Amino acid sequence: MYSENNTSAPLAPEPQAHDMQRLRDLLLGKDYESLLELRRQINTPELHSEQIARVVSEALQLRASQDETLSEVLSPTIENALSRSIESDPQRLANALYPVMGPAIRQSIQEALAQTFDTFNQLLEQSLSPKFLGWRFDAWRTGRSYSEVVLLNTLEYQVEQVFLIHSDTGLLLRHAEAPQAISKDPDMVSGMLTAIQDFIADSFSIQGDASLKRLRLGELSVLIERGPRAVLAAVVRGNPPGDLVELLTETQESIHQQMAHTLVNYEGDSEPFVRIHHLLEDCLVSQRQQRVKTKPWFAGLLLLTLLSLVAYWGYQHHRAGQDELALGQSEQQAAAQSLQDELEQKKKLQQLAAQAEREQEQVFRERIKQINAEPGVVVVNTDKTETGYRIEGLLDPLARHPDTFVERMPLLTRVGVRDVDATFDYSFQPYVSAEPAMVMKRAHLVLQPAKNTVLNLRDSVFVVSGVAEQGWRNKLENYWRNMPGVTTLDVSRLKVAEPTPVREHTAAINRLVDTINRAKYLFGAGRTDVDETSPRLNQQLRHIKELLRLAQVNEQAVRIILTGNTDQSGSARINEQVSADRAVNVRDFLIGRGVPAAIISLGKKRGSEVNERSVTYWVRVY
Amino acid sequence: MIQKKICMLGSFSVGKTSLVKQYVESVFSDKYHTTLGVKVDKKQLTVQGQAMTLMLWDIAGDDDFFKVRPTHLRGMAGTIIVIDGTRRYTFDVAMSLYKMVKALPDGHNIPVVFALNKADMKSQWVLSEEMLLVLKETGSAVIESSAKDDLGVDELFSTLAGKLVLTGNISKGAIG
Ligand SMILES: Nc1nc2c(ncn2[C@@H]2O[C@H](COP(=O)(O)OP(=O)(O)OP(=O)(O)O)[C@@H](O)[C@H]2O)c(=O)[nH]1
Ligand SMILES: [Mg+2]
Repeated sequence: MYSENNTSAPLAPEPQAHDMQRLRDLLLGKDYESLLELRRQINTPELHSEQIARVVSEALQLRASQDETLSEVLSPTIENALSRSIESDPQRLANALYPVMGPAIRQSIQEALAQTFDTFNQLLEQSLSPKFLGWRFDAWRTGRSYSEVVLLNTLEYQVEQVFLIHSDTGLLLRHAEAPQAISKDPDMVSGMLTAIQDFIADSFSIQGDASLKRLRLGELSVLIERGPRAVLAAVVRGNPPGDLVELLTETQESIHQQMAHTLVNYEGDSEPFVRIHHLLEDCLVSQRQQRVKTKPWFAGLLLLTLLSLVAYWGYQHHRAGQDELALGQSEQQAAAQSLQDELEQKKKLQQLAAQAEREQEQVFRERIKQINAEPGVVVVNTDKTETGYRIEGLLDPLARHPDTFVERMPLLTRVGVRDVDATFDYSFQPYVSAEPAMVMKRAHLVLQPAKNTVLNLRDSVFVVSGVAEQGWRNKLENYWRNMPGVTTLDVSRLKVAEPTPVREHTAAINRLVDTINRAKYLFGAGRTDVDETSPRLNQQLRHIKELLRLAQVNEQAVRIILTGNTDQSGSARINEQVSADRAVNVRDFLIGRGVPAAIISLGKKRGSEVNERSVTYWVRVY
Repeated sequence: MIQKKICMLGSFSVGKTSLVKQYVESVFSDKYHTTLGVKVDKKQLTVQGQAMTLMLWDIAGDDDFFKVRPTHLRGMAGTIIVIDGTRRYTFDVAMSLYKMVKALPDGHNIPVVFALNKADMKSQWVLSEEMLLVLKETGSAVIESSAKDDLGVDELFSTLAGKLVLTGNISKGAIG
């Protein structure tokens, strides 16, 4: 109604209209003008918006404080607006969120992982793998939720210990540890760390400056930062972040700056390094996980980011893996097992080798004992050679050479037992042994005692017993004083005999006696005369003369007894006469040919006893 | 407190680990566990009134393919070279190790002590007088020891430590 009249009112100057105007003026006064103005404002959108704009914030605030309806009513609109904004230009929203995204993402990753773990919790619950059981045990032990422990094992890190180690000696210069960390003797750890680095550098012949930067064993990592004089090593539980390496590098630089002189002149005194202890302590950093509520509308965004982060982390991890020594758990176990096997094998071989070596030495020692037990041989030194042993010593010329009595022994090479004897390579110096056996041997050789002379050695007394001639007795007197180790000569039981003259022709004489005794002169039946031309008889004569000559040289006497014999025909009385005649005739022949009559006699026996027509000889030399 | 790095050297199974174990922990075992690489131990002692920590590097003995890693010898202040009196070959190894040590840079300043170990098995020893003479002629201390019966073990280490104090003083004197 107002609006209808409002525009026409000033334009209707009729008397009725005029009256109405006056009435309104009377009733409403000046306010009427304002009302009109108000109406105009409401009816004109531009003006109306202007009005609302002044109060809209306050109004919303007021309403929001009164009840929930406002957000209920607004949220579809806002959601619509946001999604339309992302659809049309996602970059804009991303840019707007950028400053808060980093921290938010980190927190959210953890939360998302936690959620994932929660989801899989039931699955894991049934899992029996040792790793999961270990985590479960940890959860029970520490009173944390299982998934939290899993998370702890994946994301959290803490630098538990920092070592400053002298590069050359591996000696510990300084050590810092987090309050709750459990550390073994840091001195020893320091040495072992150095040894391990050496070992790896040697074993994998790493070139140039490259060196071990990271060791990992289960949930522990050791980050190693090398400086020219010292090594900084940080023991980290969990997954150390990249900037930790930077921190170590900077610390390393400051230490080398501040302690340059001390490091160069280091002689084992680590006291001065107290000064840089705070630098090590600064490295004992840690990152603990935090829990925050997830904004629901972040979810989609998160999933995307998470995926790309995982990809990035994987890439980083792959790169880090190039200078880190890290093995998966099963790989670690397999490697450890094969190393262990190899070790066992090696140990067994070494044990066998040592045992065989010991046995061989033992056998060789037996041989040496055997040699030394032999009189006149002394081993002074032995040496191992490629093919056996070299044996040096002293050898009495009268002693047996070891080669003649030492048993062979198999050769043991460093590779194993070969089917070959060890060679014994002797090198002996001659010497005179004082061993009783050798002393006796030499005495026998020099003195040449007769069969009935007995030599003996009782301690330092040389005992000679039996019978000996005076000449030998004199020889003994000269000799015994030079016998090594002999102080006394005991001859109380030695009889001295007359010397038996030396008879050089004895053998020839004996032979002649033999020949002459075997020869006989044979007669015809009933005859007693001698045929002076008989070759046999003349040969016998020559033998007798030779015997006489030799006997003379030997100063010996010769006797010849001639016996005549007959056969058994004829009477005994005649036979007796015949036999006597036969002997006499042969005697006369010999005498006639120059054999001295004095040495020839006739035998007492006569007659036919031997039933032979002959004369026989029996010669004696004395 | 002065720290020094000491290396235990010698052929395998001569008793390096056993000597260290006897010295540090006063125990002995008949079992043989060959050392892999290096095992580091430590012992504190007082020499001529001076407190000292010995870091004992027990290095695996390996002589068929004989190669002690020279890196392991780096920075050592002194060494004990162990010989098994019952095995002649360990003497040869000891002598080549001795030469190796002396050939190190500054090797002539590194004191050496020879341990003739397994003295409890002396009836089975195979060392000749001449071999002992060769050892003594190096000018190094030669000490009979038994890790089993704890004979001469302390003496081994304290003799070496004594030499370290001596060389330490000399080099300090040279600098000051
Ligand atoms: N009877 C005796 N046996 C010993 C002695 N010392 C060591 N052993 C034994 O010798 C064997 C080897 O000893 P280890 O100390 O392991 O020898 P190692 O020199 O460390 O050997 P690797 O580590 O292989 O180089 C073990 O069986 C010891 O029990 C000793 O003084 N007397
Ligand atoms: Mg060992």
